[in-house]
Order: sequence, then structure tokens, then C-alpha cells
Amino acid sequence: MKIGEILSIIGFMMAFSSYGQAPDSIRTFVMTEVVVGSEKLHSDTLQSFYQSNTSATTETILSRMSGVSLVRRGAYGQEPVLRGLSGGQINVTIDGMKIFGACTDKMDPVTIYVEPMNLSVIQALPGSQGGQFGSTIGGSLNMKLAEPLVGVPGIHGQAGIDYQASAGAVNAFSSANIARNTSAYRVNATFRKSNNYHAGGGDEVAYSQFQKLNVGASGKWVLGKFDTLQADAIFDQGWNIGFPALPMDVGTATAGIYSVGYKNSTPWWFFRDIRAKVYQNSIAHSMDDTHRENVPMHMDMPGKSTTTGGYLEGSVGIFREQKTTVKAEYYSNTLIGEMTMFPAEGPPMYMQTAPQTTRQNVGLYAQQQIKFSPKDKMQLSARADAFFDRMHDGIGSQQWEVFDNGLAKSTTRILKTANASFTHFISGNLQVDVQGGYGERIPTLNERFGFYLFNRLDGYDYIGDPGLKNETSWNAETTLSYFGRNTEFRLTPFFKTIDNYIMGRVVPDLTTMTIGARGVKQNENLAWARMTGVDMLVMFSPFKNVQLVSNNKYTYGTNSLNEAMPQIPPFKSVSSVRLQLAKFNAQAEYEWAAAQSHISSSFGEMKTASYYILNFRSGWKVNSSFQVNGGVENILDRNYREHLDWGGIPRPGRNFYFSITCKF
Amino acid sequence: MNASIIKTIFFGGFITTLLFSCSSDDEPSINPTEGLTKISEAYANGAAAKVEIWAAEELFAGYNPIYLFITDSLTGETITDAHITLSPLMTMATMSHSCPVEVTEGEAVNDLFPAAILFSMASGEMGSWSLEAHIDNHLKNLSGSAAFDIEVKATTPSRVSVFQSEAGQKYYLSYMFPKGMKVGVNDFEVVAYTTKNGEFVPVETLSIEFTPAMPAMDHGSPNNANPTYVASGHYMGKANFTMTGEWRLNLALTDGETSLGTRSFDIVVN
Repeated sequence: MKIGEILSIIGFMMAFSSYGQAPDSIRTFVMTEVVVGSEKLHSDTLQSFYQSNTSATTETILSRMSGVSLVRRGAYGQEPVLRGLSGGQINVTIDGMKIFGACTDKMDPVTIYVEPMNLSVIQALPGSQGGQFGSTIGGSLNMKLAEPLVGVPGIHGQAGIDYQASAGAVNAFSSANIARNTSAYRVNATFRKSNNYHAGGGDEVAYSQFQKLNVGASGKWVLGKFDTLQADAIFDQGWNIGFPALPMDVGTATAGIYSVGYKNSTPWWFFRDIRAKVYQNSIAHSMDDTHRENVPMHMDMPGKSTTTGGYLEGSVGIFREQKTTVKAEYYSNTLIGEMTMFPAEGPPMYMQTAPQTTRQNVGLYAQQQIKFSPKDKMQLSARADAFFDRMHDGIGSQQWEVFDNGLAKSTTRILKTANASFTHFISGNLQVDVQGGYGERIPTLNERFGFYLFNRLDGYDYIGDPGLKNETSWNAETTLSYFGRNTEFRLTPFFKTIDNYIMGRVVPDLTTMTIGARGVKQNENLAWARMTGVDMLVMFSPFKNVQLVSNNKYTYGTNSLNEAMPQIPPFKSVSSVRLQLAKFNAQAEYEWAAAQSHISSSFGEMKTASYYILNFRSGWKVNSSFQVNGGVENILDRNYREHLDWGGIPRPGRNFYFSITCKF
Repeated sequence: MNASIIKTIFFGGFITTLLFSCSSDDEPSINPTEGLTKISEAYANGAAAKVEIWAAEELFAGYNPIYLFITDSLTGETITDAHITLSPLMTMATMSHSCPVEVTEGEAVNDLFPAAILFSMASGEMGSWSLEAHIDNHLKNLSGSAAFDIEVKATTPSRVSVFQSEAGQKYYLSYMFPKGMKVGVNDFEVVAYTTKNGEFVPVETLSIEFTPAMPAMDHGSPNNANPTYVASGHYMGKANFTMTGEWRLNLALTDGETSLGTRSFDIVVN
């Protein structure tokens, strides 16, 4: 990767110099080992800031990204939230591949099935900017897979082990690149075993344990001068994943993710290059209550989600200076969530909480970059999607008949997404971006067809509404960026309005299914919801070896019931000071979140107090092979929780960690 | 004591459905008893007829739809024009009694004569059931009776409820699912008889408030339809089951102005 290319995908640089190489205004950071030459120190700081420690999980890295938060129901399996929107409101893709969790209770956001060892870059594209990865209102998180590097024959890689004291957790990870002249292979593995962690004050948090194994393998073959073939496979299995905020844990969660991609950069017809990929992934997820005490009735809740798809993407050189990208994609996702309950007496009781359903999607996307002058450029993108949902015959569709609502088992919908952004260089180091767009998103299969899905937060059983309308959204943001000699600053205020905002409404005359549930809610479209907020990032380097990074995010949301939108995080700021010497680095972090009192009590939210914690991290490069890291998180052993943490479960208290990484 | 026989116009919707579930009107089934079990057979002496009794399952205490298949005892020809009276009899140590019976008037449907018996109790140590079918063979203008030994099973849970109102009026209550029970929406039928002057007569004035529930979970299901009167002591409603397992059909009964309390039947939906 060339320096310019790296810079272009690091959002701070805003990519003007590398025009035409990568989509602009992508807030990204580089996660794994990348050769960035003179920029190494710079990106290293960001990488260290985002990754926090060498064994951080994908979700931990996400949580430190600009605009990203996590809904936390357990120590692992946290759901990404992009500027207050989550679930079906955002796309979470792996290298452009669609993948959908199999758990009806959102215990398996797909980010749990990939490890940083699998990845090179995580892209966060808020709002309609995310249209490249699917129709959306909230944006897209795309996790790019690490590619094998072809070159001088040899084997290079790293291996490490890490210990986290608070949970008695051991993480082991390794990756290796096997390079040949015309081919390369990359293998990687991650193993994690975590016991219950201890909250601030020392209390053990029961059911917060987890274990997982992730293995990835990729091959790349250079077929000709300009074309390559690549195949990727990831196998990920987690087991005994505790969810202290939920009534059940995860017995096993298994994913197989497979893809074959082809790239050709030979100019052909009016295409400059072509990228094609076909993929298949399947997730099997099963909840488990056998470790819990006082379970009123034991139940099995397996879920399965299988997605097959492909895309064809190319750059079109119609105009010499202006770049056009077009993409056509298709996927088919089949989802089923089952529940079998075992009463003390009588036969087992079976139902499909997620009736077996298949969703097919065809999407067309086009993006046009227009350069008006060296100081002004524009990017336009548009997307159209056709969705075809079909409920399979069987118990799941029979269940739905009881609502006597003339359920159409097959529906087709057309969705539109469009975005425009404009970049203007005010002066050599000051830039302004203005972006606006429109997006639509189809309700998820569970929002449409879910059948008595229990939501622990508000205590209601949720049933879907097959006739639920699409959420539609207008969004606008502007980014002011300043790049000084030793200061970088980016301020992004944003505004979004969502029509047909989906929320549950209490249906008083329906009886609950879940023992102890407070009632039944059905998803409905509210008239609107509005969000406003700001992301701010400051980097400051007062001395050569000292860097300060401050990442701040704030969102405020209200819906047409004049109530707070649920699951909106309060203002949060993470500031780090880093000292970087030749062989030694040290980083102190101050993490602060405001109290959240603008809450959705109908969604069962509690007010959350303000908190702050302090972290300390350090690293020592022993020699060219060995790196030792250690630190302590939540030094003051504060007992705290973030607003999106469910069930009032506190976060980990003081945690010492230590890791050794060996590069070879 | 003579068995009292109620001849009713059996409302045929569900019977037709059962009979034609595998075939259309234009193509009579080659084997009319396919899917049914032969309960018993006997010769009606004097009517020159052999009478076979078929049903979807073995006879049980409760409402049993049955089918009579009648052939000429000499030629084996199927008789489709006959008049039938059914007389079930429970003989006990010191007494005997009958139970409600329904017979469809008219010609056989698809070679079978539909009928139904609401057995009020099972065969057992208390006594045993016998069944007599009197056949008027319109083909040969002969008539005679066939006697059957039958065994009526007790089911657990029970599918019949025999009870008295506070005034002493006796009721015979049973139910059926004409198309079977499944997860989803089900046609649900309640059958109610009482006695008048020693005869079984259909109850025509019941109002039924129907709430299915899962005893193990203490929840119900939405959008059920209370069974309402159709004909001949039959009440038709909708029962919605949201999952498999054991369900309790709670029927709060009022006959005219008289509250009869709540009667329940437990079932298992597979």
C-alpha cells in the first residue's frame, strides 16, 4: 500500500492528494501491520489509540472509533451503534459481504465473528454515505479483510499472548503471511478464554465469561499482469458466552465465512478495473439457560442464518478526470429462530420466534466524483435496491395466521439511497466538507416477522408487523478540518431526521408468551425521530515525542412521541496522551461520559450517571522481534456503567494486562 | 330402557371436508375408507346388508365422527341408499343408558354414511358399550339390525365432560377439530347435548366464551373466535395456537340465562 493510499483512507487526511484512489470522507483507521514509511509514528499513535491493547476485540476497537458506541449485554457480543443507530438501521459488512446474526435477541452482532487478526481496516460511513454497502439510514460499518501479500518468497508474521487480570482472561493470537512470487497465503488464529470479570469494588459479575476460537485462511494468486484471484475463509466459534444482562447465555455461536474474489485492473471497454466477489456465510447460534439458577422453564433457542451473495464492482473512466464507480450486488439471507420449551410436565412446546424467512436483495450503486477545481470537488452517489421477502410454509407462517391480518407471505419493496458531498479547501490547512443525503432501510426480518421476542430491557414480548413501512431518513453533516504543523482538528456536527421510525407500542389485549414479561409490544412506525450530534477529534503534538488524541462524540435524539429516542449514548470523550520514545511508549487515557437523563422510559431505560476512568498503557520494544505491552485500565477501580449497558451491570473494575508479541 | 335415538340433519361441512380432503367431487376416491380405521363389522340380518363402521381413530369417550360402509351381503355391491338408526347402549350392573347420536339423512356421500356418537363414558369395569345399527335397505326394501361389540377408550386428558347445572339439568359436552389441530388457526367445534323427556336433544342456546391457554406457561393466544351456534348442538369457532405443546381449552358456558361455569379440555398440539 502506498503512503497516499493509506492517507486517503485515514479520514484525517481527507484524501484530496490521493484523489481517485479510494472513496473520500471515509473515517477509517489502519489496524494491522501496514508499512507506512515516514507516517509510521503518526498512524501508530492512532492505531494504538484505537486498538487500546494488542489483543483488543473487534468490538472494543469499534467502540473507540469516531461516532461508534456499543450496546452491551455481556462482556462479549456487544452490538455496534453508529451515531445512535444500530441493528437494521446500519449495515455491518465484512469486506462488502452481507452477513446477519442468527440470534433473535441480538446476542450475536456479526462483529463477534471476526477478529482483528482477520482484518486490515474498519470503515465507518455514517448516514447515506454508507450506501455503497447497502441501503441504509444509519450508515455502514465495513470490516476489510487482511489480504495476503505477494512478493519476495518468505514467511512473516506475528504471534502473541495476553493476560487480563480482571477476568483472568487469556488471549492468544497469531498470523503469518507466506509469500511467493505469484501467490501468497495468509493464516491467522485467535483464541480467547475469559472468566467472569470483576466490577469496580471487586464484585464478580456472574455470567460474564466467554471463550472463542477464530481461524482464518486466505490465498491470493496472481493470474496475469493485472488480475488476481483471492479466496478467504474464516471459521469462528464462541462457546459459553455469558450475558449477565439477559436471562440466557450463549451455548455456542458458530460462523463459517467464505468468499472468492477476482480483481482485474486491465482497462476493458469503458471499465478501468473490475472487482467481483461471491460469498457464502452461515451462522448457527444457540442460547443456553442450563447454567442459570431459578429458571422457570428450561428452553432451547437455536437460530440459523445463511447468506449467499455476490457483487460486481468497477471503476468507469468515461471522463478523464472524473471517476465513476458502479456496483451491482445480490444476496439471499435465510433466517430461522426456534424455541423449544420443556415444562416440568407435559410435552415440549415448540415455536419459531423468527419464522423461517428468506430475504433477497438486488442492489445497484453508482458513485461519481467530480473535480471542479484543485480546491473544490464533489461526490455523488445513488443506490436502488429491490427486496423480496418470503416467509416459508410451516409452523412459522402458521403462527402468524393467528393475527388474522391477511399476511402476505411474499412482498417486494424498492428502496432508494442517495448522497452528495462537497469538499472545499479554504486554505492549505483548512478544509470544509458538506454532506447531505437521503436513505431508506427495510425493516429487519425480525422487525417484520418476529414472534414474541423478549426484550429484557423493557420487559416486553415483541411481535413484528409484516406491514411495517420502511424507515426513511434525510441527513446532513458538515466537517471542518484543520491540519496544522502539530495540530489536527476535525469537527463534524450532524443532523438526521427519520420518518416512519420503528418502535414498539404496547398492545394491551395480547397476552405475553415469556414467563414474567410485562406485556406485549408490536413494532410500529412512529411519525418521526430526529437526531443531532457532533463528532470531534483533536490531535495535538506539543513536543516531538508527545501526542495528544481526544475523541469526542455526542448524539441527541427525540421522537414524535416527544420522548427521547432509546439507546442514545450521552456525550463521551476519550483523551489520551502518548509519549513515544525509540523503544518505549507510554499512554495515559482519560475517559469521561456525561450523565444521560434524556432517556426513553417506555423502552425501559434507566438514567445513567456520569463517570470517568483512567487508563495507563505502555509498550517496550525489546528488539526487532519482541514487543512487550502492559497497562492498567480503570486505575481508580470505579464502579460505573455506560448508558447503553443493559441491566445495570457494571463494567470491569481495575484491570491489569500484560502481553508479549513476537514478530517473525 | 330403550335407547333414544336422535336423528339429526348432520351439518355436513366438516364431513365433506374430511371425505373430500384427498379427492374432488368429480373423481370419487377409489377407496372411500382410505385414511380411516375399521372399528367393527356385522351383518344386518333381514336387511341383506353387511355394515362396517369406520372412524379416523378408535372409539373414545367423547365426540366420535364415524362412517358406515354398507354392502349387499350377497353381491358385495355398495349400498348408497339406506336409512340408518344407531342405538349405542351402555350396560352397567344395575342400569343401562344410551348417549347422543347423529346420523345424516339421505344417500351415502362417497359410498359412506356419515354419523357421529358422543360417548359419555368409556368402556370399563363400570360397564360396556354395545351398538346396534338398524338398516332400511332402500335397494331391496328390506330392513334389519346389526349388532356390534365396541370398545370405547378412555382418553387422558378426557375429551368429554358430563355435568349438571345447579337446577339439575344434565349436559354432555365434547369438542372436535374437524381439520385436526396444528399451530396456527384451527376450526374448533363444540358439541353440546342435554336430555329432555328421557331423550338426548342438542343444546341450541349456549353462549360460549372461549379462551385457550397454555397451563405450563400461563399465557393464551390472540384472536380466537368464540364458538357460535350452527346447528344440532354444534358450535363453531376458531382456536389459535401459537406453539406446539399442551393447551387448555377453557369454555365459560351460559345456557340461556343459566351460567354453567367453566369447563376445560386439555389437548396436545403437535
